[in-house]
Amino acid sequence: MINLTTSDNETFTVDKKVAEKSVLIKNMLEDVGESDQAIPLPNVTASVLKKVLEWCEHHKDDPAPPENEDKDDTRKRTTDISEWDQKFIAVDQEMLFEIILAANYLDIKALLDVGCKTVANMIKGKTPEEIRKLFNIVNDFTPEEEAQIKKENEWAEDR
Amino acid sequence: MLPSTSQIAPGLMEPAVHRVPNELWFDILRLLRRDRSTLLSVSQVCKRLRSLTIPVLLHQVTLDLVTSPDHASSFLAMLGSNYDSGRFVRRMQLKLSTRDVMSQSTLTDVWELLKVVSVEDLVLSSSKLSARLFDALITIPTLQSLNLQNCTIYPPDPIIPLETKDCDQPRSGRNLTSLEVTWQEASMTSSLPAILSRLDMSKLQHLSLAGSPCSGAVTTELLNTVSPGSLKSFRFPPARRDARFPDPYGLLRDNLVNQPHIRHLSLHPKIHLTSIPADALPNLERFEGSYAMAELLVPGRPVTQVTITTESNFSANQGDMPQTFKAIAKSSKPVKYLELEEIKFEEEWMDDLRILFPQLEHLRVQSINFLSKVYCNYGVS
Repeated sequence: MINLTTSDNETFTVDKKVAEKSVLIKNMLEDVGESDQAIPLPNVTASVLKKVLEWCEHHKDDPAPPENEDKDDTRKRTTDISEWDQKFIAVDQEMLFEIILAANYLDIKALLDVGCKTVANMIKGKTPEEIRKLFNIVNDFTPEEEAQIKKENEWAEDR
Repeated sequence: MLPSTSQIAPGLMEPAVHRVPNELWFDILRLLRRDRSTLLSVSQVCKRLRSLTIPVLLHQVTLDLVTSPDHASSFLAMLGSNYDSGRFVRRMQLKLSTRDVMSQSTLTDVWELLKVVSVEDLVLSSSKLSARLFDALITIPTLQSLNLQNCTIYPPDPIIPLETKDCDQPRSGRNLTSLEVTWQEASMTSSLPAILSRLDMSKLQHLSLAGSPCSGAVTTELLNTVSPGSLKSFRFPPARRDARFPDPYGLLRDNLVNQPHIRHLSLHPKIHLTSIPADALPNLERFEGSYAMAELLVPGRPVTQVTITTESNFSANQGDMPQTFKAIAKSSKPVKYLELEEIKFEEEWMDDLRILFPQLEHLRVQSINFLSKVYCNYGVS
């Protein structure tokens, strides 16, 4: 079993196989060897780690993805998220992005893919204003810049 | 605006969406590569997302400068100051014409565009090009794959008799590994020698020439541009015989003998080779062509995929079980894929086929997967 300590000082004891879904943790264990000391995860809070470990537990027996996987092939379809993963990732937006950030930090590629695909699906078909509203983004273009952008985008429209 | 990660003080109170680094946004946007309309929306949200979207939008570019000549200037505008973003353009499909249709300003934009993009994969469709513009296109140093669909060089170069041809004529496209040329009208074949003679084909691995029959002169020119030994796949069109030129299919056979690395050979069904040495094409894995050519080229070679494209039934003297199947079964490797595009298929052949091709995985007849349909009827899983 492995102990993991979060940024808010909560410690989780997990099966090594589950923890090693994270390439970061797997490499740390290989570097320092077996130890009773908890592995600190200063970029992850307890609530996020709990969700991440839930995903790792469910996918602990999945085969490792091929190392030379072509991103174009594997990531081109944004809707191919398994039913379990869809339910897992049906969380509020803050938690969704926290999971993405944690998956990136912990180097869990398959979980990162689920998060990125979910965000891509959220963006799909939306207008610029709808996307701003969705993610609370401020429009920092001047009216002149907006007009210029519309002109620059002309060649790519209607395809 | 979406704050850049460098502008955000580290701290977990910042909303997570604003802490997502550029590389993750880029991964998300890459997932939307085929959804150009959404990408265009994202590009108008804020400056940071625009800068991340442009490389994705530019990765694959389609410009029809015949019907929308003004798109050249809007495309160049997106490339930004000094056209820096041109380096993101990897695949480009262009339709353009230097004859009558395009204005001088559009042409100037096209010349600029060719200087700044890093295209690896270029498709030119229904384009009428001056020799000078074609030379500029194939001089793009990153170009690896060129696909010419119904393109002509205007005016076409006169065909130079072989004995007076300047063999040291400079050629372009030194990194070209794949060339595909398709045409519909016979008149377009007169441009083929001009196109091919400009290309450096020394590294070419995949050559596909498909369209209406070529004259003896054009066929001779085409075959003389192919470098010996370089090809891995080869598709060749039909030829018209012309007493003034060597037998085109004799030349084709000689060319095939010098291409030991060919794995995929596709011959138009009208092509008929009378013979080929037994040691030619030692690595042939996939063959497409007439049943007669399958009988000639498959036996003794490691062919595992065969597509018969003959535009008629087997000849009448083939008996109950076409001898073509028996010949194909003499491949030095088990045939796993058999496709019969135009042939009337008799279901009673199935029992013998099971014996001839015990490892057959696909049997497609006129695009129907006959294997599952008929084998199931015969109780074979």
